[in-house]
Amino acid sequence: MTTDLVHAIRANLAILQNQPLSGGIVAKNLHISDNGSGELTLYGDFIITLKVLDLTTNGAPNLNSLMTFTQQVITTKLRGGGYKNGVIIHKYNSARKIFDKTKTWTYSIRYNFNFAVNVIQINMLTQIKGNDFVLAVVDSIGHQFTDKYGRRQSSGGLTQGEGGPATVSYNSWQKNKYIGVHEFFHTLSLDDIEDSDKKSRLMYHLADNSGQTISDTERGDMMKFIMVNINDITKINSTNINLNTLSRLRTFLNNPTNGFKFNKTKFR
Amino acid sequence: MVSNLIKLSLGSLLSILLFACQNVKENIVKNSIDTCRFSRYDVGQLISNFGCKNCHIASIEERIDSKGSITFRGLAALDSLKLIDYTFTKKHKGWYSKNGDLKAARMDTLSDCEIRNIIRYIKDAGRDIPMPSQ
Repeated sequence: MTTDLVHAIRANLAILQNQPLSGGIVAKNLHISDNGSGELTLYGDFIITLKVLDLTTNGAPNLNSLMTFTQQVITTKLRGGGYKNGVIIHKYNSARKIFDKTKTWTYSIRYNFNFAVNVIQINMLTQIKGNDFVLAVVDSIGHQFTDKYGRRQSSGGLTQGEGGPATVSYNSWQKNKYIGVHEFFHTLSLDDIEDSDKKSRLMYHLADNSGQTISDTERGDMMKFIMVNINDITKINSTNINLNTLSRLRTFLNNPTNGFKFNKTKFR
Repeated sequence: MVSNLIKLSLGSLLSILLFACQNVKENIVKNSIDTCRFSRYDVGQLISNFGCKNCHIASIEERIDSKGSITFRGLAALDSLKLIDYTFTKKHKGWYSKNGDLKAARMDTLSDCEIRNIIRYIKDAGRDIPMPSQ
């Protein structure tokens, strides 16, 4: 709670001092409309930044092309907004343009967001802030998992859950260009799919995947993650909450059960 | 001699019946385990429909968020029995019941298996289980 509060104070100071906001999610021109029948529409221009850290031993010659592809796919998949119903939040007072913290209300939320996506390479840990998103490229991942059919599977990518750092093995990324997007969408809160009738989905994570579609529910879940605190919509500009990214990345990479092989001298 | 043979036969029959009954019992146990499978995606859909993460933020490590609400990690730290009591009995059931505000997603029609899987999903949030892909 303390780091969250410090982060909120810093973000507000940056706005007051007219400094550019930084972080994985930077939102501008936020506003809201209430149709009076229980539906709120949220508007905003978002910049999503994913920082890619190359930790491979022999370098990653195709990294730029993979990053460009990943940036394009993330942009395409986030396009079109999202919808969630049954959202309990403070009641919105459209006359005063504030959320009334003394009352709760159930709304349907329509997300009408524009996205610009940046996938950029970084070389130093000092380039990672607490509220950044990061994708570390490693030599290999030893972690194995058992799928719902009881089969042991190897991992080409691994993400430490919602909001957490993501990793991808360079060789696997070269074989499957969509792995970077798949891992990043875990960071944006999506779960893996193993149902045989959903092989065409981007989040289907077994070898016989046959497509890259995202469902409306999944898009709505990502929008919910992106606008985690809906009260921020009244602030005009905002940035995402502190995720302790650097600390979580360090712990994640050094966890022996994940079996990462990477060039430790690059992790500086 | 005849009565001894009868006793032996009856004894054998009883033993066979006992073994047979034990095997049936084992099969029942195995079958009941197999029917409740955990699928992270399916449970995630339930969580999404209930809108749990609207109030209980899942992405941060803190157990209480800046608004004072318990986070997903905070929920994960609760004892499973307390969590069942808190989530499905005392706290939310009224909202998600037949006449509740959120009746579109009914909580009182969940099966025991679904409840158990939701609890596992919440507990997993505190275990840092990585999400893999091939």
